[in-house]
Order: sequence, then structure tokens, then C-alpha cells
Amino acid sequence: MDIERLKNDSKLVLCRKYYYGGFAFLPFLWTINAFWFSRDAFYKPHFEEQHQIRQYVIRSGIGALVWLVIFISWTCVFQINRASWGELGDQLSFVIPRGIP
Amino acid sequence: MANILNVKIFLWLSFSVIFLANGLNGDRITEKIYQRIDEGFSCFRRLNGTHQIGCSSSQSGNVGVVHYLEKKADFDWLLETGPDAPYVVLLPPDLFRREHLMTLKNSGKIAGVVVLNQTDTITLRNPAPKPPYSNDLTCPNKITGLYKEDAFSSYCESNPWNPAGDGLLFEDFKFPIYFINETKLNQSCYHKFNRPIEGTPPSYPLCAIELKAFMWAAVDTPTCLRRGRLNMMFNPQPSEYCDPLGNVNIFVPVLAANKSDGPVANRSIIFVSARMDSASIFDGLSVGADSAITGMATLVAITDMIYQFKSNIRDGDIQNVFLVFFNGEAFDYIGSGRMAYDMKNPSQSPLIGLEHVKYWIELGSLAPQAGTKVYLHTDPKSRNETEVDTKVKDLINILLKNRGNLTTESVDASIPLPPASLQSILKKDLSIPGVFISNHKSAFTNQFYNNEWDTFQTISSYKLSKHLAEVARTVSASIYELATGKQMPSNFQVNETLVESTLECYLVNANCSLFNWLLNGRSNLAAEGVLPTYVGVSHGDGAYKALSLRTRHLLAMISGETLDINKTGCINSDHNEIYHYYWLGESESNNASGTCYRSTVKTSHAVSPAFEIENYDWASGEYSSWTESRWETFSVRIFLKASSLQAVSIFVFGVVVLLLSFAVTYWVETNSVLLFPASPEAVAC
Repeated sequence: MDIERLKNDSKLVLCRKYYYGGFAFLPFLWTINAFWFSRDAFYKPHFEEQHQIRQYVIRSGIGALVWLVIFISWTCVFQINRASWGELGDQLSFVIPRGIP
Repeated sequence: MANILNVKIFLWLSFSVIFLANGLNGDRITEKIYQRIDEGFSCFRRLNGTHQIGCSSSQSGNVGVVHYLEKKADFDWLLETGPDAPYVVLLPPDLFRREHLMTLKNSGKIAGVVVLNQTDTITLRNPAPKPPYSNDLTCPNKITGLYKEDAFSSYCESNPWNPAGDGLLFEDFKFPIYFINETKLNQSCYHKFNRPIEGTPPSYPLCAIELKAFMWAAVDTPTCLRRGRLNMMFNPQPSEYCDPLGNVNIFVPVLAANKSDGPVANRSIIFVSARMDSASIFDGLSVGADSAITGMATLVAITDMIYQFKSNIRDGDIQNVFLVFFNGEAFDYIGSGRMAYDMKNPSQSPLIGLEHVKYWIELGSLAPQAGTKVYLHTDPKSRNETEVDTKVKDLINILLKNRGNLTTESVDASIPLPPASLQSILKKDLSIPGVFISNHKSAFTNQFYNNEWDTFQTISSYKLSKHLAEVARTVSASIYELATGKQMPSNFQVNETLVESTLECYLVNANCSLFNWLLNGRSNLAAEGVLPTYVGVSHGDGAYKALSLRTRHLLAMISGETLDINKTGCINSDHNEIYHYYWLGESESNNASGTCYRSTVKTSHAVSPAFEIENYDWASGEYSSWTESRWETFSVRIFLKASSLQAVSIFVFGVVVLLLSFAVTYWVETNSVLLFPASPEAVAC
């Protein structure tokens, strides 16, 4: 979808939908929101809804970043400790590796 | 127009010529690079309740430069100089010893080991390591044995049963180890390319070898079983990681036993047992000549004798004789542990329980390796009870009385039992009077206990079958006397031919006439050779290994009565609780139509109870906990390896060519107008 064709008020509605949708543990919505509307939020000449869009974009960006940190830390913790967690490690794995602890 | 056609024909011709020049067999490039070696036996991974043992390569296989270590001094050059690490070392069998393996393992320069079994061109014998040599423990099967934690447990530490045991079988290696019957490897690979001359490292290209033996299981038995279970739930391509070791015990109730005969009287059955398995590090190399087969062949001869006088068995208060062939004994008494468990377990309501056992006689290693003396071992723990002690003494006296030409000696009553199936039985019921008969008093006389070199070559002697027949006669005569109270009449004779053909089939050539007769000529063995006695794994129910199948049919022939019915009738006869029907001896080439045998031979699961008990404590050592890892392939191939400098320069050259071609293409593209002036025809279109 080309959002450039949307009117500014519809952009705000869409941006808000993505922002609230992200709270349902959907960090990808926030990530998309942050990139998709960044041009409208920061670079476009001023328009009425820009302030609100900018807020949503910033918050979505922060949310996505927090999620990213959580993801990376969990992946590190899991990969480092999977073997030593024993049974728990296997239960948390989708594909259990062969031939290694 | 004609010109274009000519060009086409020319191109087509030249392509054909190129293809023809490359040969019409269409070899793949891999076949030009690699040379496969198929004569190998690989080490693999086994797991118990707490550890993993054996070997595994990496998933894609381990690659190393081939280096032959002929004598001890060669190790120094490899470990100190050896510039082309990682190496795969070739070892003559005598250097495949714990100290050397540990040096190699800890050096970090090794990608794999190949034991090179080169038949000596002059003596035509294989250079076995200098005996005694064993990779089992000095106290085999101690963890699951009878004396795990009592006053007798220290006996074996000071007087080891297997002093030669270096425990290599229980070591964990992160690289593959192969046993290869192949001489080309040394000559055409090592000597041609890799041999250092006066200590100077050889120059590239070097002969390298790739060993693949990737094992799926890791850590220990509970882990790999759990992973298999979890994997079954989620993985789109589910598979187990390991399988419990196990196969079948084979047993022969001499007289038909069934539930309708009414309850069996307590202490009324004599059991005679032997083990039929052994072990080694390598898959498919476990003849177990003295570790298993001498005792087993003797029990086969005893079975034959007892069937000669089976009508006399119930003359006294003995109701039956059971002959039991245990499987998996090398791995913490799998077979006997399971049978003792089943016979003691009231929920199974076994027809014959441990309380019905009157005497237990077990046959161990019996090859006359250090003299023909035979020793009677007993268990001091059970003999603490006066009642049991009296019965054990009776049993010993009868065995000594019937010894005939055999020299027998009763081992001191305070000495615990050597590794024996009897230990698992007594562990469940100490009131069973039992004797273990073997060819050693203290340390094993078997020079290659549970080892790949425990073959006919090492126990072969002119008196072997005569000696085993003599032991069989003694035991049979004792059983006769125990059952009837009388001396065995001299008309009951040991079938020495049977002993000889049994030894031939189990130790020399499994493609023998006896086995072929038992399987109606359908033995399905590709070549001459010996069948491994390693217990292997049990995939589901009733999985027969080649050797168990033959043993069962052999016993069916010996114990069976011939019936006068045709093949269809025989095969379709109801296999019931008491009898099974076998069609044996059919042969197209000999024009023999075969005979129907009805026999009481039975099999029972020889899989450790540990895998059946819920919430079993894997660290307890109560029962065997051995599993075998699954793997996909074993493969060995050799190839010539270029130096890393050459490899890198070829790669860089390739990258340069690639970049150049980009540049040229770009240049041609931008200047296409100049290079290809628009032709008048194209304009016309």
C-alpha cells in the first residue's frame, strides 16, 4: 500500500491502529510503524496530525527497540545455557540438535 | 545461411569430441576426487545412565592428513614436529592401546584414528596385539553386579578378574576411530605421498582421509531418550536419538511346561545357563570366542545330552531342567537382569519364578588356554546361610564326582563370583544354590576378554572341542544324578561332531553347512565370515539378530521332535504357549525336502527393566542402562589434499576472474553501439 496517497487524517488513524496493535505482543507492528511513518513524522512540512503521528512513531520505535533487546538477550541466555539447563533446555527447543549436549 | 549451418555442425561435433574424450562412463567429479574404502568397522557411541562412551565425528566428517605410526618413537615426531595437523593416524593393532590413544586425544592434533589390520604376507596371520589385551574394565560389570556395596566389593580391586582391562571401551572420544582391513591405504596413500624422509615433513599434495561417523545421541541415556520423546511430538521428521541395547534370551524348557499342569513345586527346577554375547569398540567385530562362544557351545552340547535322557528327569523330585542362553551380558547383565526381574515380579505372574529354582549352573569361558583345569566358583554371600551352603556343597560334590577325565577344582568359598549372569540371579534371590564353571581361578585366562581379537585364532587348539565335550559330559552327568539320584549310564554320549560344527559356525564361518541347513539354504550371508555376537539394539518386538535366529533354530533342531507332516502343515501349525514348529533342512541343491520339528524353545525379552520401570533412577546402577546412539552413515574416503597456500591462491584467482568478467561485461555493455553496429536486417524488422 502506498501511504503517500492517503489523506493526513487517515494516516493518523492507520498509525494509531498499528501503535495500539503492537501492545498485543506484536513488536513487528511497532517496527513497521516506526519506519513507515517516520517520513511523515519528521521530514514532511508541518501538518495538523504530524504531532500525534510523531508521538506514535517515537513510542513504537522505543517499544520495538525494547523488544529487540529482550529478544537478543533471551537468545544469548538460551544459547549459552541450553545444554546446562538439561531437561528444560530440551523442552524449550523446537529442533533439538544431534550429537551435542 | 550455409555458413551458419557449418558453424552449428562444427560446434556440435566439437562438443561430442570433448564428451567422448572424457570417457563415456560419465564419472561424477566426486568419484574422480575421492576413493572410497569399504572394508572398515567403525567405533560408535553408547550411553549409560550417567555417561557417553565411544566415538563420533563431526556432522560433515573429520578430515586429516594420513600419518602412519609404526613404532612408539613415531609418536614423538608427530606430536612435536608434525606441521600438517590435523592428522588421522594409522596404527598397527599393537599400538592401539590406552596410553597411546590418550596421548593422541590430549594432543589436540588428531582428527581421527585408523587401526590398520594388515594380514602378514608371510605368516598369513593377522598381527594381534600382544596378549593379554582387553578394552573392558578390570572389574567388568561391577556396577550392576552382586557385590556393588558390600564386604566383597573390594576383592576385585586387589585381585582384578580382568587385569589386562584398560577400560578403553568406556572412554569418550571426540574423533572417529576405524578398524580397517586394507593394505592399499598404507602403500598407495601414506608411503607414496606422506612419509617424512629423515624427519623432514613431506611436501604437498598430501594424502588425506575423511572419516564420517556422526552420532546423534549425546550426554547420557535419560537425555537421549527424553530428546527422542520430545522430538516425536514436535519435529516434522521425528526420529529417536538412541535405542536401548537388547535382543532376546533363548531358553529351552526340557520338558513341556504349561499352566494346566498345576502349580510348579518350589525348588524343583535346575537351570543351566551361558551367555551368548560379547563386545568390542568396533561395530560388527565381536566374535567373543572365549568370552561367550566356548560356554555357549558347551551348553548346546549339554542340551543335546539332556534330551537323550529327558524321560528320566522326573524320576526324583526334579520337575524340569531349563537351559538358558543369555544375551547382552557384556553390558551390565541385560539378559540375566531382565530374566531375574521377570521371574521375581509378581505382576508378571511368571509361570516359573525364582522360588522354583533348585540349582543354578552357569558356564563361563571354557577354552583350555592355560591348562585344561576347570574351576567351580561359588558366591560367599549366599553361602552365609547354612541351608544354601549345604546345597552348594552338594552341587559341587556331584560335579566333582562326575568329573570323569576332567581336572576340576572348587575355588575357595570366601572368594566372590567372577563376572557372571549368576550375580544378577542371586541379586534377586540369595537362597538359590549356584555354581559358575570356568577356565580361570583368579584372573581370566582369556587373553582378549570382550575384545575384537577374541577370535578362533587365539583359542584354537587340537583339544578345544574334546575339552568342551568333556565339560558338557560332566555337567550333564551331574544333572542326571541331581535329578535321578543315580549315576548316568555310559550309553549317553556327548555329540562331539555337534560341538565341532557349532564352533565352526560361530567362530570360523557363519556360511557353514549347519547354519545353511537350519535356515533351509537361505542364510543371506554375502560372504564367508563370522557373525558378530554384540547384542545390538532392539527395534520393537521380536527383532531377531542373525545370530539369535540361528541359535534358536539350532536349539529347535536339538530339542525338537520330528513330526510326520508336510511343509504347509508345519508352518501353519499353531504356535502355542508350549510348542513352536520349525521347518528345517530343506535344500534345493541337495534335493532335501525338509523336516518338521516341534520344539519347546522359547525366547524372552533381553531388554533391561530400567527401560520399563517408571521413574527409574538412572544413576542407581540397579539394572543395565546402556543405549546405542543412532547414526546415519559410516564412510571412509581418501583424497589428495593441496596445501592451504595453493587452495587460497586458486580461490583468489577465481574471485579475480569473476570481477574481471564483471568489468568486461560492463565495458561491452556500455560500448555495444560501437562494437555491434546495427545491421540493416535488424532495422528492417
